[in-house]
Amino acid sequence: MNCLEVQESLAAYFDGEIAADVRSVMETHLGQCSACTRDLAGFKQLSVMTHALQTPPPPDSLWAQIEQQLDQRPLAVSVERPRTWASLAPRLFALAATVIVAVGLGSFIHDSWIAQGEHDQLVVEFGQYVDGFRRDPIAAQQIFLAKYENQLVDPQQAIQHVGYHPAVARGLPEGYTLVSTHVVTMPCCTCVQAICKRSDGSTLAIFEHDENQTIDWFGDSPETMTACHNKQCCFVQLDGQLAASWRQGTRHITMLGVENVAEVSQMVAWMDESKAP
Amino acid sequence: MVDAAVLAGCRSCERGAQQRLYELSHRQVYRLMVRMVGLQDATDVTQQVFLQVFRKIDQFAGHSKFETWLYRLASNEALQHLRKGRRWKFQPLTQEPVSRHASEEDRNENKELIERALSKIEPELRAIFVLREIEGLTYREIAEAIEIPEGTVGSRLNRARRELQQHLADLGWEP
Repeated sequence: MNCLEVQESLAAYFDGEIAADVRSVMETHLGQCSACTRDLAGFKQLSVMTHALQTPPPPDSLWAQIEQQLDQRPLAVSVERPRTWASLAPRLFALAATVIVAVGLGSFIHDSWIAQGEHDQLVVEFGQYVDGFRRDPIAAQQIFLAKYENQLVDPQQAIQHVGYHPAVARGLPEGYTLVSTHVVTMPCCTCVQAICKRSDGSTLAIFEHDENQTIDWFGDSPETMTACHNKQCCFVQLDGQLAASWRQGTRHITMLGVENVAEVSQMVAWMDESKAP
Repeated sequence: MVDAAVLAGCRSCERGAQQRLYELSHRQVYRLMVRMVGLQDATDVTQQVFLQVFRKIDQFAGHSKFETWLYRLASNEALQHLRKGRRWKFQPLTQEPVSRHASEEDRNENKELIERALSKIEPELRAIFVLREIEGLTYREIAEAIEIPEGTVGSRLNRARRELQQHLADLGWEP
């Protein structure tokens, strides 16, 4: 066998899915060919990296959700997908056609100025966080915190670091649990970042920072303005994920991993109604 | 393993049998979904898979293992989900992250890199790779799950692995 023939069967050889006689011929070739041996070692390394990936357990509530669906609809009817961005997109795009997209996340730029290179790096790094957040929020959070100076704080004591009580210090709406609160020093701003869990186990990140600080985290991502509980909110679609930002008093709130407009409306209403201490 | 009694119960829409089938198989479906559609959507798509399983259980003729049929439904559901516009897309890394906790970050970076590389290959190649490397299916089982000829599984795994290696290299990974 020559290198080309060995390369074509390398996966089957690696996976033990090859006839014994062919295997023997390939072993002879691999014993003499450093290039093919190197490729085989690459497959092994890839396999080791893949096996190191960990998957969290499914949420405990999953069977209850399935059972609820089974109770609600006949099995013969095709099932509707709950709370997906895909189902939300047409509505948001329709809104985009009628709403002037003038003020967005990118326009919350004020006196604080950072160099373009630093800004570009921030957008890239935040993009990495966003990418990772969708797949594995816990791992993404670890990487995010490793990049910036931060301090794990009790939300009630965050005022000592940022000069105000963050919104999460007043609790969260029903159905949400606060997992952690960090004060994070980024090149653009010092913000309070809260990681929250929904009852289905999915994760939401809430960032809060002073209104006079820059937060151009999403680069050129398309923005859509829409009203949530009488407040103009800026939505950014992030390749299968949704972020929303709005002004809350003298601060800005940015939520990452939101489900839909209704969830943002609920959060805005809750923050409006809860009194700052 | 899902046995004949559980399957018979599911065909009769017995809730206890459905729950038993779920308990026996939901972890592997969820694991596949996390790798195929991402953690945030894995719960929703897993839910859809089991609703499809219970809806289509009469179509399982027993020619293959139930688990292989389940992987076929799960793979189809994941691919359909991704085709509906929720395919991952990532910005390339242009700058090295600042590392302040080297060993922990190395581990996290490796994990992040392989996940990013996985997200960049075609969903069908990703499914084949995950079914082999994480779920441990044989080539025959993968062929049945993805509905492709068994003879093409090896060549597609070859392609998946080479594309993953290339993406890892592009992302700055060094062996």
